[in-house]
Amino acid sequence: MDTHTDSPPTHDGPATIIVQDLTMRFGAVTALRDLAVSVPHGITGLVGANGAGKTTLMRILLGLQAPTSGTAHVLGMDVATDPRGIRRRIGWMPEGDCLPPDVTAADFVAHSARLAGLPPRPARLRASETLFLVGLEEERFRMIGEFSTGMTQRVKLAQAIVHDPDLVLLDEPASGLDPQGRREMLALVRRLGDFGIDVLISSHVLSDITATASWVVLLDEGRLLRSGPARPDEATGTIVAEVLGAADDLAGLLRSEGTAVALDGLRLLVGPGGGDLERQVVSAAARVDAGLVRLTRQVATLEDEFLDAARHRAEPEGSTNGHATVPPAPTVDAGEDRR
Amino acid sequence: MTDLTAVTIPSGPADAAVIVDRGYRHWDGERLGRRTIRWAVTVDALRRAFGLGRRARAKIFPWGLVAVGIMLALVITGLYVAAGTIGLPPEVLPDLPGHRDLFSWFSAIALLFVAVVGPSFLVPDRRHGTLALTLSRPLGVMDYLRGKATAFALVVLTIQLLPQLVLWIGRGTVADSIGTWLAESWPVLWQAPAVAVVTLLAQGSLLALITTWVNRTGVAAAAFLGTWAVLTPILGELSRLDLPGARLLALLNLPEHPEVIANWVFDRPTGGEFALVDAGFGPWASVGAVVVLTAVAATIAVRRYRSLA
Repeated sequence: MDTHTDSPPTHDGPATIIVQDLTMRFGAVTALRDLAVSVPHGITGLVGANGAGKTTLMRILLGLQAPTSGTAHVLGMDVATDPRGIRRRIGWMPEGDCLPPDVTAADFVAHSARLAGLPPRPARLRASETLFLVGLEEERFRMIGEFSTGMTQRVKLAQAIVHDPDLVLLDEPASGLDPQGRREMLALVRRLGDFGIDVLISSHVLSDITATASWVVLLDEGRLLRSGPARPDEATGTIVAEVLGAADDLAGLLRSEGTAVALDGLRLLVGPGGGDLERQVVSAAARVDAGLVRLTRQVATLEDEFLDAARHRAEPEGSTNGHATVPPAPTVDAGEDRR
Repeated sequence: MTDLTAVTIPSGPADAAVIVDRGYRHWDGERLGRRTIRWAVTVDALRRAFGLGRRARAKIFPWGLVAVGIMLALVITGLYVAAGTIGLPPEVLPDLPGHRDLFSWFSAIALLFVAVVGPSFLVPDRRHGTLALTLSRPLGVMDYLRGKATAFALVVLTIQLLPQLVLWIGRGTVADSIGTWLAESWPVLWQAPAVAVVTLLAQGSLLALITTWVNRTGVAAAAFLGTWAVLTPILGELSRLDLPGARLLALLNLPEHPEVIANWVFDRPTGGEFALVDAGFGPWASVGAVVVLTAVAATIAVRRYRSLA
């Protein structure tokens, strides 16, 4: 894993996207700062809080926006010199409203295919097939204005893939969906990977990324926090113990036995330690008569990683004025299954 | 290539059945160039203008006005038929309404059509966010605007010229001989298109200025009609003021240019009620003014869309 690096992080195999020293300023606001990242084939999650620069990066990769400085290559093509060549091989699903309400889904997706250069008849055929794939069968002949949010998101996905792109950029594809709709949308995104289409999926909901991506790019305020393989949540070797009382006594006893303990009120972070750590805590709690409420293994999530990386970046600044500034973390969606 | 994944159920009474996942088919066929993509923009705009693929309500207005234009042409043709049937003397025929009159009678309807349908070429794409999606395809702002402009031109020219064509054919059918009719009427074949093109440019330039900024079709339609209605009285008065350079304001009088040029092309007199004539400008000045104003409007529209892209 590459963390806090100034040069583009590396990975095995060829890259889909390579960004070097990319900076984008809008007046006094800097959306991207010296961003350097390399994205491999497969499904990559682009994670960051709102305003982290995700959408700006996608617009630059599409050639819709010229960066203030730096370079970006997509599928081996330079966005500065061949934006149309890139857009021929790329699909985009924007986050916001982008669909006309007064046409049928079939007509709109067919039109999208024609805009990508497909002849009229195959465009219409592929529109039907793609809408079928995303779960809109009979509904494809209804006006888009009559669709629910979930159906609208499916149409947006269909128009992004109807012309058989090599890469699709999905900007918050599960935005506004209920838990069931979110699960279905993320399943569709995973299927794109199975079809051999590379995906860059942006989200501020971390569970969306862990559910789909094999590589993760973390952004914060336009800076790269981390670019590396996505890993499932894993145990850290630390135990979280919550007690009814005598927390100080329990902490003291554990420390006297050589175990690291951090105390936070009636909550103790014990370890890291081996497999008998739970037994050691239970035994010590019995000896000091501390009623145990909860005993769990701490799990490292992408959210923790994001916060750690952000804290790590903020420390040099904090050391100068005594205050480390850590940005708000992306959202963990409570309604989504952790994987 | 086809990616069909078939899973055969191995046993049981339904062992002949298969569950087919149609999967995703990659496209390794032809990908057409920018001209075809521009044409796709044009076709989409034409479909929207005439309400094709939309609800019936969207079709009523455009097709209703097309029908009214054709009806007008048929009524005038009917006059010629009636004149021939009751045996009116030939010297009376030139007094019957002709192509220039049809332009005049139809101008209000055509103007209404441009006001109501015209904003649909640019406004909805911005309002619904479709513009960003369109520009994420392999076409640029200029391709998009050219595609839309082509559609607008096709629509306006069709609306203007279809009744003229019906009248021309209708008068031909009641003529003594086709040869004589063609020999006498061939100038109409350039006169009518010339007037239609000038009308297109004059109305299109004002419409472009409005619809590149206004995000509601209804507001854009009202702004277009209102501006078109007040330009002549306001600029007429201002250009007649005894101030240096005031007469040049008459050149900005977009509604007068098509009228002046139509009279010139159809060899009709142009009276002093036109501010342009009062200011001493001839028809060529109108042609030049329309071209310059169109270029200015197009430049502003392109700049606006480049900033939006």
